[in-house]
Amino acid sequence: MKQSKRMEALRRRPINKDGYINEWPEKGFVAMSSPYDPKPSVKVKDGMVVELDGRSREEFDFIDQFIADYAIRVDRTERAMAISSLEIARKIVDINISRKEILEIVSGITPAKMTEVINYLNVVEMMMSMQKMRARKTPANQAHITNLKDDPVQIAADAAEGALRGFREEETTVGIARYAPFNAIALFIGSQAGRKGVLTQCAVEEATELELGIRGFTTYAETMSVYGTEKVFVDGDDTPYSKAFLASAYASRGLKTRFTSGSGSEVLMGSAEQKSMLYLETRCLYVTKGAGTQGIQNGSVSCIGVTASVPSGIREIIGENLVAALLGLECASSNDQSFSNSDIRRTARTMLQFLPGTDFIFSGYAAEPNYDNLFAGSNFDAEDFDDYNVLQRDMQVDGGLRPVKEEDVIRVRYTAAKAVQAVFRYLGLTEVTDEQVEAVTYAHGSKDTLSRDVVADLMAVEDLMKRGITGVDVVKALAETGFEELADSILSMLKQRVVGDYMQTSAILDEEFHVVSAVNRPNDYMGPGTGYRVDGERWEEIKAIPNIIDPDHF
Amino acid sequence: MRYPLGEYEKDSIRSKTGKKLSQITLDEIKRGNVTADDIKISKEMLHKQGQVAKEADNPELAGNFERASEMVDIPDEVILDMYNRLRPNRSTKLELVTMAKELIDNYQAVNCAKLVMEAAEIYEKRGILL
Amino acid sequence: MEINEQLIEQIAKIVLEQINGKPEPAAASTCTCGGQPGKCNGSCAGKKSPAVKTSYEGYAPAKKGTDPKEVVVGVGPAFQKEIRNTINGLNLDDVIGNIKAGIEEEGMVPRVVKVLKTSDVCFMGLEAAKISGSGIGIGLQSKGTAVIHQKDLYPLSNLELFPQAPLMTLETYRAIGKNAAKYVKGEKVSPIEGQNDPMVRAKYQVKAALMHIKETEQVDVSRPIIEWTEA
Repeated sequence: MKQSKRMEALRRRPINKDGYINEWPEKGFVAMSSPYDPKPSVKVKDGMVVELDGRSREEFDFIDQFIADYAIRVDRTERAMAISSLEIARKIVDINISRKEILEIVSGITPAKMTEVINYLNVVEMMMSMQKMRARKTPANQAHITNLKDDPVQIAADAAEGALRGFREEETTVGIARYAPFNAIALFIGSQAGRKGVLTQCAVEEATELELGIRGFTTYAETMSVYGTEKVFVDGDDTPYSKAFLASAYASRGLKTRFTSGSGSEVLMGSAEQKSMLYLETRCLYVTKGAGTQGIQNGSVSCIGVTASVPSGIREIIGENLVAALLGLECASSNDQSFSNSDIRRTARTMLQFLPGTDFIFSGYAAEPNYDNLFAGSNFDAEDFDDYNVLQRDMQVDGGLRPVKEEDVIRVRYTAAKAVQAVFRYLGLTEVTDEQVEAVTYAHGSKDTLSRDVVADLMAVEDLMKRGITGVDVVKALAETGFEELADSILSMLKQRVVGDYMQTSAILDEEFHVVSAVNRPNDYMGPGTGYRVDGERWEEIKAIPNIIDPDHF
Repeated sequence: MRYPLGEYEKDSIRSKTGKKLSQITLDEIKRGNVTADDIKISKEMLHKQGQVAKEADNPELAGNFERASEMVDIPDEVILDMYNRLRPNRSTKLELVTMAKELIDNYQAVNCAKLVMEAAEIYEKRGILL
Repeated sequence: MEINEQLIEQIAKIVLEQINGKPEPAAASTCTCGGQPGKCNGSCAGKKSPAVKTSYEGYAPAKKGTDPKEVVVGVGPAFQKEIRNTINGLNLDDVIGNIKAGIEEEGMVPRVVKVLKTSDVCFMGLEAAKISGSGIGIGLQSKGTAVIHQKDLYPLSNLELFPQAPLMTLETYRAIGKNAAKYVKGEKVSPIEGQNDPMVRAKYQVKAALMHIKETEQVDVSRPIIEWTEA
């Protein structure tokens, strides 16, 4: 066949480098609805759910049982289940029906019913629903702070710049697991050097992450994964019961937590039990709710390559974010994993959360170049900062970020790196040289920094853990080395755990360490003229991008 | 009681060791008068936060804070160990039941014990005990 | 408190039962799918699989090693049978050959076992480490994902993890063997430098899912771990 030049040009487009697959429900490759999904049903006897979505109590697996006992309001379920799924879907979109009323209805419906409800909504209706159902009145944003070298000094500098740019939460992880304590400390220090009140976490193995939290090296935890089938839950080395126990363990130390889940994980881990991705993810969200965790990171997350490969996959992702919001959970709505070679496609995917606003639009915007992103690349990275700021300005949407000045970026990066240098010296850890501080201050990524002695670092980490160093020692180190203000900020963050206000749903801190959550600032959107509007100071901040034409210069 | 408690109930807040917020300062840390234990949450605060959650129509979150308040006095390494034993294929039924007993006998942690007992039953049914 | 008393009573009853060695009969699995596609109601927790399984009847169960120089490599259930090449096309014979060579170059002794009870790379690595004479093991999925593990670590923790199988080369596998051997020797080991391709999901995740499904279909909990001399 003679080849068409146009078809050839199209074949070369980035979009055609992405992977797609047809629906295959037997292996779980189906986004919204599988022929094997159960039909909604509930039976209550003596105040106990004895049938859930077609299964009797005897047939329950451990997920069913946990959901039946912990996640469904027994006093509301029969009434709620009597309302048709279509009617519930319409109520959710209806601006005249309040978020509170919706939360009450939804607290009584089962996972299969929830799946049916979501299937009635198209993406615009889902966005309208999210605008109303988001827990906190104002949206926010979260950054990933990592680098390929696991260099704590660069982590501190990137954390400072990220905080300056507006992120209210920052998450790090490690290439080499044993580096975790260093990176957690560096992130904590760096974040407060950029802007006060930023919450920080270090994503590592569950028990290790808890230990870092208890030590006072982090202020919240997020990487507590839950799964939609039993087999995959066990492969993830947990059950709903152990996860609920873990959630309480964090709370008992005054730490904010959210769980993590996302469609596609059961497919990727080989045990989707023929169910749709949305149904399985809904089960995860019910487990999250039942465990009494205030929130969730979801939206396919690291398995987006699977969800995005099937028809209606990107719709499913905003759908599962919406389920989280409908259950009253704080939703950190992913957008944190690269999935497409196409700039058009990756931007379109993010608009579904960006436009309505979620509690955290990204649960990891790469605040470093993607080559340094140890979550295998985020959907947006440091090189997209200006694009993102212009999108906010174009649409008068609060995406949680703001334009910054170069001198401020350099200043906070330098402060953060110097502070880590001082703390490491004071605590007798590994040396951070002035050359390293200099390189990190002006760096874009780890290609511009000096290499560290990894073996020496790992030995120092071991020593630090053995000596029982805690967050209090970090505060003391900063205070004794001339970083009084920074020491005070870290202490203010640690004191949050004595009060516990920030463990309530969707809590963040402002720059004066005041808690802003769904309890004191709940979303009150009920149509035009209500809810959060971008105006005043915040709008001025968004408008002030640097690259503006000055009419006087013509 | 008015939320945020850190703003409206500031003076009545005590840490796990009984310290007031106003006693947890940089100067006190420099003098060595504040330890990591002083910056931990108390049972009372967790009860109060549970109350806040209940009033916000979130009984699940309140239940979590209830279990958490029971865990305040459990040492870090015991909590970590219990969590690990509650993971799949880590314990026999007897070990889990003994753990529930420990929770009640040593810490009066009834709600935690209840969770562990439920786990012991369903783990047995689903074949994830040792 | 009512709940308290009920609970204590229940605890006492179960403790007695368990000590007297007459546990309640485990509830029979209510799933009757028998591995038939379309009939599974899911309650069998995916333990029954519709795919045809290779039988490993007659294979020797893997023994706990006693040689302190030993590094055990635990390979996945589909290794060199249903799957013969990694996700980026490296032949599995060459992959395992390089890992073994790496171990030997450091003067240590490799042994290969096939882990049939799980398809998860970290659990595979941990199983290998647990039966390794030195306590150091390597987990290797058939799609190429690898981990260096140590017997006393949390399952999902590790000494070194290589999560991005598409970026692996035979040289990396050899280096993994060498590093694992160095951990045995108690040397200060420089971890292999991380690699990262931020577009890996777009290119490979569907393929990874398909390969992992294939591997998981071969999981056989009744025969947890066997000696694998075909490597």
